[in-house]
Amino acid sequence: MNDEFRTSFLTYYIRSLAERTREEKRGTKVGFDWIIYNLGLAEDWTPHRLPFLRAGGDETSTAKSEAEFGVDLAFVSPDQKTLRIFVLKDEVLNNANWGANKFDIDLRDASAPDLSPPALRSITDVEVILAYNKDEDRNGIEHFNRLVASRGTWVGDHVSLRFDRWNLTMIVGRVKALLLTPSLLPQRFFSHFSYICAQFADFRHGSDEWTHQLIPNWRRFLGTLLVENADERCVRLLPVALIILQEHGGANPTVETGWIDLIEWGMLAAWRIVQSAPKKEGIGKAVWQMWNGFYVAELERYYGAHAGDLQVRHSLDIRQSGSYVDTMATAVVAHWHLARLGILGIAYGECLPTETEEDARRRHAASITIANWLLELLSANPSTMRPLIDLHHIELFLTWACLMRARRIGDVVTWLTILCHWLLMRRSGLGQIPFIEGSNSMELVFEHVASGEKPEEFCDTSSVYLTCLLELICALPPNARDPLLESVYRRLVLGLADCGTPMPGCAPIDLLTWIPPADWGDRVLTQSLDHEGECITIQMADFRGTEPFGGSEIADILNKLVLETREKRESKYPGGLPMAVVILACCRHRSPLPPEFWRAVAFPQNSEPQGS
Amino acid sequence: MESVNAADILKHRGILKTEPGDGMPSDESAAEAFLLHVRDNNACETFVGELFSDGIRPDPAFFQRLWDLHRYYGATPSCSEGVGIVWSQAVRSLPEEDRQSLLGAFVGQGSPRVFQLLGSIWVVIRDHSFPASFLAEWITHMVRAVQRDSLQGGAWAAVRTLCVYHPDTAFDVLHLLSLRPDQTQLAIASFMLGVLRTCDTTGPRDESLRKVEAFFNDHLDGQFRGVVAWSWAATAQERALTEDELDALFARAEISPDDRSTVVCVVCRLLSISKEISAETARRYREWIGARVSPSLPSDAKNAVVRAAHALLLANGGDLVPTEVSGWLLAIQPVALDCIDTWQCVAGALSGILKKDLALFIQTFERLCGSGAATLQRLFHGPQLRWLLTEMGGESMDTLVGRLCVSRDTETRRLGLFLFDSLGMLSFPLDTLNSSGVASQLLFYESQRVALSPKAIARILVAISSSAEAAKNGFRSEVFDELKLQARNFAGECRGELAARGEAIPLVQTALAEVSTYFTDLDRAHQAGINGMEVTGHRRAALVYRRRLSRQVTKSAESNSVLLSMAKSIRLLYGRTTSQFVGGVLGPAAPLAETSVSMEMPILELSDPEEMAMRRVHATAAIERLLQPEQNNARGEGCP
Repeated sequence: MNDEFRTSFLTYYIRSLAERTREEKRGTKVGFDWIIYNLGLAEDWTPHRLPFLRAGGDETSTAKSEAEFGVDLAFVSPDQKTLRIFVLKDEVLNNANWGANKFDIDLRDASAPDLSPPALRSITDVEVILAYNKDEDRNGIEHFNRLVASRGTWVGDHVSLRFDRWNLTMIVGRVKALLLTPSLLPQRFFSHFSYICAQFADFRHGSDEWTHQLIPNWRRFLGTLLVENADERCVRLLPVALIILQEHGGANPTVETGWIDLIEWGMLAAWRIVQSAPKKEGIGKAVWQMWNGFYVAELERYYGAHAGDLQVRHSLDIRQSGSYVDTMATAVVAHWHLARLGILGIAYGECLPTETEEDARRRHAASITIANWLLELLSANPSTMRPLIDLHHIELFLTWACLMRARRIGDVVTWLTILCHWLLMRRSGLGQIPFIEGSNSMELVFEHVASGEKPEEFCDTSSVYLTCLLELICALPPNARDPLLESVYRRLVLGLADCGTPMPGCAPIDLLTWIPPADWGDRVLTQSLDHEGECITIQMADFRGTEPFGGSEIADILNKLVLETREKRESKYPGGLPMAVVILACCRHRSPLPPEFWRAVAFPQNSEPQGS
Repeated sequence: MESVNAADILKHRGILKTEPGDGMPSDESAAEAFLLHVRDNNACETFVGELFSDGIRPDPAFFQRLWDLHRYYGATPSCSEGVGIVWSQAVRSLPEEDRQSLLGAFVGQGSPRVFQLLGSIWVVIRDHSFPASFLAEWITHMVRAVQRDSLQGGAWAAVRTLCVYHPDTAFDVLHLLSLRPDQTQLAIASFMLGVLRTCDTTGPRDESLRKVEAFFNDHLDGQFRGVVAWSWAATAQERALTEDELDALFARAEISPDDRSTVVCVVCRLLSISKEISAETARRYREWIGARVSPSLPSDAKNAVVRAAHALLLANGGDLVPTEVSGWLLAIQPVALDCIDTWQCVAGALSGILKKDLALFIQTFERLCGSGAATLQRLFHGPQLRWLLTEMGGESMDTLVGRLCVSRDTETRRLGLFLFDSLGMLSFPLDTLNSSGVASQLLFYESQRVALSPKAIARILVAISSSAEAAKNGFRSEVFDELKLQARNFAGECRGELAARGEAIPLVQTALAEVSTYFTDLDRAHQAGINGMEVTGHRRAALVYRRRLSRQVTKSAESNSVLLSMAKSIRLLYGRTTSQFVGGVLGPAAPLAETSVSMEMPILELSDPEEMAMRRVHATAAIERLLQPEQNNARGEGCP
């Protein structure tokens, strides 16, 4: 993530804070006094006066009710000679607020501190700092300068007095320099988030520890932060937390992909808030900003930085055990990249502006870039054409969608042809590795390959993936579509050799398609829906058992299937959610993708099917 | 049984040297002195009384004390006979039922202890009469205990002694053995019949012999008829067969295919074992065998033919290889893979030919591949024929290997490539590649379908590259792609070998130049962390795989190593050195030695198994295309 974005998200967050942290009926209202306090500690200053009591069983400090005399916080320097007094304001520094919001009075009071306590006996300098987390204008600054000029340079006879002003930019700058730690977050998150930071620094992305410890911890943190009635401050805190995490992952060799992983869980939690409170515009805007400026921008940066690496042949290969177990792991990593590139491509289509011709040109250029990255990845890393589980139909769809969007029909044909050949090698048993596992268990795939024996539960007799593949092929021009359809159906689905006889040990695969439950849009962001909805078995042969002959016949049957499904099963897209978010949710929660995602393009409504 | 010092007794009798440190004489003089001593009945009786002063009981200690005598006189025939006389004397002192128990206990020891006194048992059989019913059963047990061992001669010597010294009992035993179709018993019967035929069988014994012969001759079961045929092998060990006897034996081959097979075995055996065989008889044997060797012979007959061929080769001391040898080896093909013994004999014969006539070896081996290339290759992989490979490595095999590699037969090509690799040939014979228009391509595509070492791949590609420079129809481009692929696949040895041997070949150099930056790019990509993420379950799967691999390696090592299969495997728990406490003695400590073998893995088989499989499919199709015109032409020649 580049520095500009970091500054922006920190600014968004700090600007959204109140002056004081306090408990309200709707929960804790986070204040930037906590940030100033922690900045003081980071500078090695000793707190002299705090606006809150640090004790508290619920880890939230309680506000003091004593008279402040303009002093919100005060610190003594390590040499005990300088007293720094902070006057905090969560208001814009301008003419109207100068008097109305007690800038003037509080600064005057603060500049006449009581230095009689024994702890302050050696003080020789007093510095009064006005800190405010909002904007300012010229009049406000003029008021401040006049006050400074009027107050002189001494407190009493021996102690010098000076003033300083920390505006939002300066606070953000100091936070970036000193406070990208869990201390920046509200106190109640400190210990939990510190633990997450430590885990992020230690655990490799995707490892068992990552999956079984860090991710549940992170999701619990997200659940605490982004509760259903969360306000904008909570949403704005999420990118700050992620920025802090990134700071802690420096030594982790998988920090980049791991960070994207955590961002994704965060984004899904944030979109869930938008979905549950559609009328809170501030939250919606904040999440959109985060989606585009944080997640999509990070994907863009990552693939921009690593496109050259991904186009090196076999660059994704994992070589750990010197066996096909590594081959499987490599395919998982490859599909991870395919999914992110695909989501980036879909997200470009949704977030790039559409108003002008220049916008259109930019959108097209972006889709071309994604297509190029994808094609280079596919060409250099054959593991991208090694789907292991049925859910890899999501990556199949994403690749297809991005290439189609860039109008790379020829490349789609080439890619799908090679994919079919590679799948054929596995289907026939020549490819050394098992065919696609239908119940989506990587555990079973690994067991099969590691032990050399097919587990009883391993399912390679039913497939949504192949149905998806057949339907995606239907979007191609008939001359390319028909031979591919025939090849996929005869070889991969029916398991027939070119001479028409069954390949040894190959029983036909049952084609399936999935219809999501009616309320899937409400739940897709939070859970897996793989065991919900309706699973339709597809019989391509007629009642006499005669299999379709030729690609166009197969296309006709699929077209009829789509028409029937649309007519008899309602399909409703969840409003307010970008498509890329829904796809990301399906990837993360391991839900199948509703077929209408690709059917909308492959079988456009209100138009004649291609080739008919 | 109390401890008895046999050495003291022998010394006391003056038949063992008394001075300490005197070694056992290397000649048989001491054993002969011992034999002479025990041949004296009185001396023997006294000696037995002293040796078994604590009594004679049919237990292992009795046999151990007899076996101990060999410590002083060695395992010589004289000693064996002397021990037999002592044993016989001991038996004499026992009541009848104990005598049988003692013999029963001897056989009951089982292998390998039964072999210790096997050379002496004939003396006991000679000196004592036992009931036929006991002997029939006892001999069967004895032969079963030793029949798969090369040291079984003592058992047959005992049977022969029975026939010679107790012919009437032998006929009774023969009768009892003929009651059941038991392979061992019928083998004993044929041996006894053969020996009895050579004994004095005048009078009623002649009648008995004829009856027995008629019984077996006319039997409906081929196994029983085989007894007569095999009996001639025993006879031939005693004396030369007459013309009539030979004619009768040959005539038996016409009875049925089973009889023919048996007679082939017998005649082959006669050729190998007969004493003082005349040149004319040997010629008859060879001609007769030569006329009957064919692929349809059963496996035991094929084995006999190969053994006979091998024996012919060994019997012929000069540089010439008997003309039949190669012909017989080829005529019986195919020989099944599981006929290991036959194949080992074939290898023995091939080795003999190789030493005498390289051209004939090449010719024979090449023709052998016509039906047995796949079998040969599998046997070469195992321990059985590895030694032949070593012997072949000492001769120039360029011509043979070159021809095999570009053969039209798939299995032959694969065997050729295997030999090229296993023999560590430094370069592929280029003249072979020019032998036909498709030779280079056949070699190229076949090499893609088989597992070869990185160096062998490089050497083959270097040979093909030099001829592919001028090739058209895209072959040059395919070779170029293959060069790059293999340079990545085996980035160590293959790339190094290509660089070393392909220095003067532009195609090789261009390919190497193209992949030179690949590994730097790959390192950079991996360091960037794009494949750094782990996959849940991967670590555990890798562990399961390593365990499986370890089990397979251990199993394979045990099945391929005689030493490992015999030795007990002990897992040491502590320490850096190891020693053994055996027989009451603690041996010196030896440091633990670590051995390891490393080999370069074909990385693309793991990175891209589907593409590699597709490449093999493509190679298969290409080979079919290459051979199709030739096959079509061959078919077309006969068409109108």
